[in-house]
Amino acid sequence: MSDMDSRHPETELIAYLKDELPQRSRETVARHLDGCADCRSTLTDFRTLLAGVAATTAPSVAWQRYRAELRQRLESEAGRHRWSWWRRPFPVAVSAGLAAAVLALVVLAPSAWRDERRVVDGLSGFEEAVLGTRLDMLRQYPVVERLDLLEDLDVIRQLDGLEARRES
Amino acid sequence: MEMSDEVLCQRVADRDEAAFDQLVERYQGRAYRLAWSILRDAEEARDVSQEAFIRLYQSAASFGGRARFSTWFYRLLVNLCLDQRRKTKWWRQIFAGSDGAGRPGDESGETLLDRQPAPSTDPLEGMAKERETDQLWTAVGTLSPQQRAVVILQAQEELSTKEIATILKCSEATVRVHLHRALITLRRTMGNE
Repeated sequence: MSDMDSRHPETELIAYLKDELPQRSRETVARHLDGCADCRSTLTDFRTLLAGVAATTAPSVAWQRYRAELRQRLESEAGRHRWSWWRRPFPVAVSAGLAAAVLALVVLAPSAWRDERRVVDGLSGFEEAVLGTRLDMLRQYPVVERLDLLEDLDVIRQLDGLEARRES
Repeated sequence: MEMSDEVLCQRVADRDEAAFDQLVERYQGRAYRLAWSILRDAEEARDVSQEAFIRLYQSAASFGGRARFSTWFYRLLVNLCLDQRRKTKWWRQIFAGSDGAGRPGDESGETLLDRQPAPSTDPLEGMAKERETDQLWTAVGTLSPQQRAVVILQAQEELSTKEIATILKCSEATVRVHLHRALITLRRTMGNE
């Protein structure tokens, strides 16, 4: 017996049992089995065990009822898939609403921001224009400065009169 | 002429109800037995095997025809069985809890519930034969789910190593190692070593 033949085949024994070994390896294992009582006994036990597992049958089943149940499950599954979108309107509505809000924010927010800036700039320009028309009044600053102290409406009237006379 | 499983599956993809019924009738027995052998519970086996047929109906279009239909279908079924085992493992462990059901060196996490004896095939077989069968299934119950699946696919379905490897998504060498270790464990448990 060569070294190869004297080595106990382990997983090769399974392949031998299943008749899945190439010819050459099969012959090697067969030669080993001829000379090894342990491996012969192992092989016999493996065969017996597999035959024992194969011989077992599952509990009996009423197949007609089994198929009817299966058909019922299949129909309920199909129904669930068909209506799955409509059976969950709340999450769909919430998701759609959120998506619309985000879209609106993305599209409208930059232009609204730009408009706001434009308004702020416009207001300061307007203020400048108003101040420009009141330059004469500002030249009377010492009077204007004391307006809130004097609370003299006559002074204001005089100022308005001064302006009216200048325009005429 | 009888249509092949593969042709029937293609027809199921086109929503041919008659083709689906035919496939169910062809595979119901094997599917249920395989599920029962892995799960060891009649109700679960019924539920999981029916679920496999529902998945078949829904995903028949994804059957590419590269493997045999039986290999594709068994893969679907075995995955469902292994998922089911994972799902129910926690309550099995709680149920087993204090009775010390786990044996020393038993890494499979199986409990007494998993070790229900398989029903006898023939009432005339006699007590001795029945006891032997019970003992064998008790031993099968101590195997890891993958080892058990390999033994069952080998013994009951007589699939090639390549087919079992495809079903379990592992290499052929791994299948041989699983089968070898499983048979060694069974042999030791049955007292033949």
